[in-house]
Amino acid sequence: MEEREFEECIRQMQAGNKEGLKRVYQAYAGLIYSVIYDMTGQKEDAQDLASEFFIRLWERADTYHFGKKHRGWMLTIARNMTIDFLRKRKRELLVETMEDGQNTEDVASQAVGNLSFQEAMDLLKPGEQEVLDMKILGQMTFQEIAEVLKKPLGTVSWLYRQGIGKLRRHHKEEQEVQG
Amino acid sequence: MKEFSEKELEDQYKNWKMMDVPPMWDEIEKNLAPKENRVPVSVVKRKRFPVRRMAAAAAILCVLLLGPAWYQIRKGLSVKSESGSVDESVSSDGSWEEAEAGCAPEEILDMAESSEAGASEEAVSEEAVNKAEKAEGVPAPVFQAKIQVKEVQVLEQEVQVTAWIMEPGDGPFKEEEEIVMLYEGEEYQEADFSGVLHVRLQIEEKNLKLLEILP
Repeated sequence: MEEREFEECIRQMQAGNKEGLKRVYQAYAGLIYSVIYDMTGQKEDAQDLASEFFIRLWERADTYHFGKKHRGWMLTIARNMTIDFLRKRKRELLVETMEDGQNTEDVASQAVGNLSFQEAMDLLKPGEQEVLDMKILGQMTFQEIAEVLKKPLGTVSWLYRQGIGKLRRHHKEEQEVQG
Repeated sequence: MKEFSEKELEDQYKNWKMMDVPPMWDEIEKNLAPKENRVPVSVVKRKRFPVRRMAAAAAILCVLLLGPAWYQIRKGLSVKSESGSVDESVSSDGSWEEAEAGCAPEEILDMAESSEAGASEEAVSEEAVNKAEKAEGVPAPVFQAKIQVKEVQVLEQEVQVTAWIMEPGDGPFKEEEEIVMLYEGEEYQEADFSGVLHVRLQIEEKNLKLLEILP
């Protein structure tokens, strides 16, 4: 979604028109859900938080400063909400585990009928998934991602390359098994 | 063997991820407050009396008033009883074992109970003294004001309320000043924070506490 289109949605929301929020939801539900899920590692929590995020977006539409980069703004809110949630639930331990690159039980148990997806996700570290989500689902530039994640541009680019490299290797191995 | 391009891998990744996103719109739409009245409306349940504190105070009062009287009655009855040996042993300055030696099993139980009651009475008295000592100190300033709630954030055991002062009342704040208060009421989940509220506030150390939402 372009900046102008997003601002139009915000204006609709400010006028009390839910259509504006629906358009934003359709464009960004996947990105917001995925980023939150990368952080929590729990499907139910990610779904609740993503829903809460869009409700908050509706409530805070009046406070949006036009001319901002909306993706960065939204992702900052979503990430802060998730950090706040994790802090409240005292899940620092879980976050540490995730940062160490270990996938959670929930990831392992998901997508029973989609083993390929599960295997590919198992290969990716949460940091890599986060960058891939923002780059691929959010269509963000590395610069924008670096600003949201407060990480150096080089690190973001490296995480992306790592993630894409792992996906490529996974496909290769899959083809070898099938072939 | 086919080599995937970066674009193909990105598309594949996107498809995978989007398949995993649950539908949320219906739930979101249900919870959207109309723009004219965005503060959630809940059942009005004013917090007037702290029920637990009142119950605890009543219990302390009962023990203080009835405890000695009950003890006196017990003592009087045992003096009048036919088993003189028990009275002697209790009233003498001998030990508990000495008294116990002359008692029937039921009476030993009674004595043990009265002893426990005595101990709790002592504990209660100490608590009452502490309370009294605390009360003698400089009381934290309490005042009333009218506020418009901006944001309500539910924390672990309390609610953090951000609000604007509409009418400062007898408090130290200015009109339209933004304040942050802690609301520790037991029924905070059902408290109604919508509209302009008439409240009782207290400045305690560094915290501003919302004591009560007045009708």
